[in-house]
Amino acid sequence: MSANTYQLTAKEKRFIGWHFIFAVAALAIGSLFGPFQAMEHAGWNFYDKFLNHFFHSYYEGLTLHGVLNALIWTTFFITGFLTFTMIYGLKRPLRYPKLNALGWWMMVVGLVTAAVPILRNQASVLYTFYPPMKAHPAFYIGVTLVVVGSWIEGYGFYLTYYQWRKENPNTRTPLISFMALITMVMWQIATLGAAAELLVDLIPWSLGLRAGLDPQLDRTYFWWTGHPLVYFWLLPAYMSWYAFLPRQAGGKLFSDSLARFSFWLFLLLSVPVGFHHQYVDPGVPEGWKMVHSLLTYSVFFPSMITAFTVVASLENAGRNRGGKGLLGWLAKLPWNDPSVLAQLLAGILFFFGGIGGLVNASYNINLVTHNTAWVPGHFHLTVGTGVTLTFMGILYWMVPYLTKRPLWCKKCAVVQVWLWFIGMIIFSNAMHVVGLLGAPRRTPLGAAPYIPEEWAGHLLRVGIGGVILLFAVYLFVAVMIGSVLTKKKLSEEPEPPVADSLLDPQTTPRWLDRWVPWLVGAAILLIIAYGPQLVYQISTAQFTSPPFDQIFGG
Amino acid sequence: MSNEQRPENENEQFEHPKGTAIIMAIFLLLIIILWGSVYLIMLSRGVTFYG
Amino acid sequence: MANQRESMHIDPYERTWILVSILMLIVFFGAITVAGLSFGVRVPDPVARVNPNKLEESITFAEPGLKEVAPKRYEAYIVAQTWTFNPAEITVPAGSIVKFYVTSRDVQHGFKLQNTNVNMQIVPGQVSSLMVKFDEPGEYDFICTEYCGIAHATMYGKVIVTP
Repeated sequence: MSANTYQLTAKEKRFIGWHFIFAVAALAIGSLFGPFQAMEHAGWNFYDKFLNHFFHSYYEGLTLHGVLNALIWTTFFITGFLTFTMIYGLKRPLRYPKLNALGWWMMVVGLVTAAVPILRNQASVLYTFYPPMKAHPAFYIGVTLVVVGSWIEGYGFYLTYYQWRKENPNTRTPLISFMALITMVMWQIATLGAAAELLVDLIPWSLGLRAGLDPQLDRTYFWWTGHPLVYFWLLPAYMSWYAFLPRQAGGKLFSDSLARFSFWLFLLLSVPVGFHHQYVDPGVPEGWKMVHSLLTYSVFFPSMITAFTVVASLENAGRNRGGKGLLGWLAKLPWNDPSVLAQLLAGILFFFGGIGGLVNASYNINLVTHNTAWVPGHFHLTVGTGVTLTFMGILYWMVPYLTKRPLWCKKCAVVQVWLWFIGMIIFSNAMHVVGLLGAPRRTPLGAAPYIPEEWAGHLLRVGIGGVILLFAVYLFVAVMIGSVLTKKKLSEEPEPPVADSLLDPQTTPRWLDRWVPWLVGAAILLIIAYGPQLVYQISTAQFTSPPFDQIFGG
Repeated sequence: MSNEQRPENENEQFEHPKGTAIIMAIFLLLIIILWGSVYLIMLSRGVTFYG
Repeated sequence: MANQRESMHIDPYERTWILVSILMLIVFFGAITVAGLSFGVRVPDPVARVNPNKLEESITFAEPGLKEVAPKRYEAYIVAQTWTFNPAEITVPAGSIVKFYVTSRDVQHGFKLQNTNVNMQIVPGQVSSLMVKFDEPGEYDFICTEYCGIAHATMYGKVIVTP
C-alpha cells in the first residue's frame, strides 16, 4: 500500500469540489447542443421548431457547445484536478490559498461575462472566434479572464512547489505533482498566442479602439495556442492513465522515467506545431508548413511511449490478478469498476483518435480533411472521449473521496460509460466517413443545397449517435447529482488510487527532474519554429479588416 | 521483435510485456492501414500544381 | 540517498516499439514529401495581398471571372462574400487546367472543390490559389467550408465541365 495518506482539509476539498461542480454543470448544458446539432444533420431540426424560443440559431448552440464543453468543462475540471494532485502529491497545503482562490473567482467572473453575450446571440463566433467576425467585447473579456484566472491558479502551484523544493532539496518530485506542474507550465506558454490575439487585437478592435485587423495574423496567434490547448486537455487524462489507473487496475506504473520523459517531450513539442492547423491558409509559406508538419510528427512520439507504457502497466495489473497467456490478463482487469471501465474505453477510442490526428498532421493529406466533418469526428474521439470519458472516470472515484459518500447507482455509471462508447463509435465513424465524402464541418447540413444522396445514410448515423450520447451524458450528470445528494455515508474516507512505480522513482535520472534545461529547449524550439514567421507576419500585417457583426441573424 | 527470454541483470520482478507488444503491433497495423487509405484518397483526388 | 545507478530502465520491448514507430513515421513523412514535391499535391503558398475593402480597384478582382490564358488553360478569379461566390458558376471543356485565385470581401470563408484536392482557407486581405485538371466532364460543386454567418450553409458554386 502506498504510504501516501495525506489528509486534505475540508476547506481544500470544498475548493477543489467547486471546480468539479462548475465543470459538470458546463458539460450538462453544453452537451445539450451537441446532440441537437447531430440530430439536425439527420434531418430532425429542433432549432427551428422547439429551441428557437430560447436559442436564436444553430450557431448560437454550436458556440455554447464549443465554449462550455471544450473550454469551460475542461479548464474547470483540470484546474480542480491539478489543485488536488499538487496538494496530495506534495503532501502539503497550497502556499497561498488566497492566490488560488483569486484565480478561481477570476475564472467564474470570466465565465459569466462570456456567457451573457453568447446567450443573447451576440457572440455566435464559435470557440475559435475567427476575426473579422466580431462578438460582443464581453465575450472576449470573459474568455481572457478565464485564461488569466487559470494562470493565477498556476502561479499558486509554482509557489507551492518552490517551497516544497526548498524543504526537500534532493527528493524526486512526486509524479502526480510533477505532471501537474508540466501541464500548467505548458498551458501558460501555450496561451501566450491567444492572449496576444485577445489583448492586442480582439478586445480593442471590438471596443472600437482599432479600426481594422489582419485576420491571417490573428489565425497565427490563435493556432499558437490552438494545438497545445488540446495537450492541456490531454495531459491530465495521461496523468490519470499513468499515475492512477495502474493502481485502480491492480498493478504498478510500468516505467516512471518514461512517464516523466514523455511529459517533458510534450512541454517541448506541443507549442511549435501550430501551422498544422493552417496548412491551407494563404498567408503561411509551404516551407514553414512542412517544418511544423515534421515537428507535429515528433510530438506523436511521446504519445507512442504513453500507449506502450500504459498498456504495459495494465498488463502488469492483469497478471497480478491472475491473467495468464499473452492476452489473458485483459479479461482479468476490473471492467465492472466504472472508473476503470471509463478510462479503458476512453483509451480504446483514443487509439483511433490518435491515428486521425496523424492523418491531420500529414501536410498535404490535410487537403482532404481540412474543415470537413472528419475533423469533429476526430476530436470527439480525442477530447470528446479520450479526455472527457477519462475525466468522468476520475470523478467516479474523486466524488466519493471528496464527499465521503458512496457513488450513487454504480450500475448506472457502468451503463453510462458503455452508452458513451457505443454512441461515440456510431457518431464519430459517421462523421469521419461523411467528411471524407466532402461534407463540411460547422454547417447545418439540413439547410445546405449541395447534399448528395450518398451522404444521407451517414448523416442518419450521426443523428443516432447523437441521441445515444444525449442519454449517456445525462445519465452521467444524474450519477454525479445522486452521489452528492445521497444520504448514505462511507465509514471511512476512500484513499485516492495513486499508483506506485515498478522501479523506485528515486532511481529516475536526475536530468528528468531539472526544469531549466527543458524550459530553455522549449524556448529555442519556439524561436526556431515561430520566430521568423511571426516577425514577417507582424511586420507585413495589413490591418484592413473592419468588424462584421450583422451576420448572425435574428 | 525479440521473443526469446533474455537474462535481465537488474532485479526484474516483471518479465517482458509480451501482451503489450502484441497490442502495439495491432495498433501499428491499424495506423498503417487507416493512414494509408486516406493517403491513397489524397492521391486519387489529383494534383494541385501544374508547372 | 540510495546510490542505485540512475538509468531510464527502458524495457527491450519498449525500445523496439520506439524504434519501429520512429521508422514508420519516417516512411510516412517521406510519402507526403514525395506526394508534394514530385507528384505535385501542393498546399497553398502566399500569392498576393489585396485590400478587402477595395477589391474593385485591384486589377485581378475588379471583374472576377474566368480568363483563358492558353488553350485549355484558365485562371478563375473568384470573390467570396457573405453568402455567395462571385462568379458562382464557371464552365470549362474537359481536359482543361484551371488555376483558382480566391479572396474574400468580408469575413473568412472556405473554398473546397468537391472530389478534388482544392481545399483552401479564404482570408480577407490574402489570395488563395491552387490548380486542378478537369479530366471528366460533369459538375463539380465548390462549397464554403468556414463558418461565415447565418447563411453559411447556402454558400456554394459549381464548375461545369463540358465534354
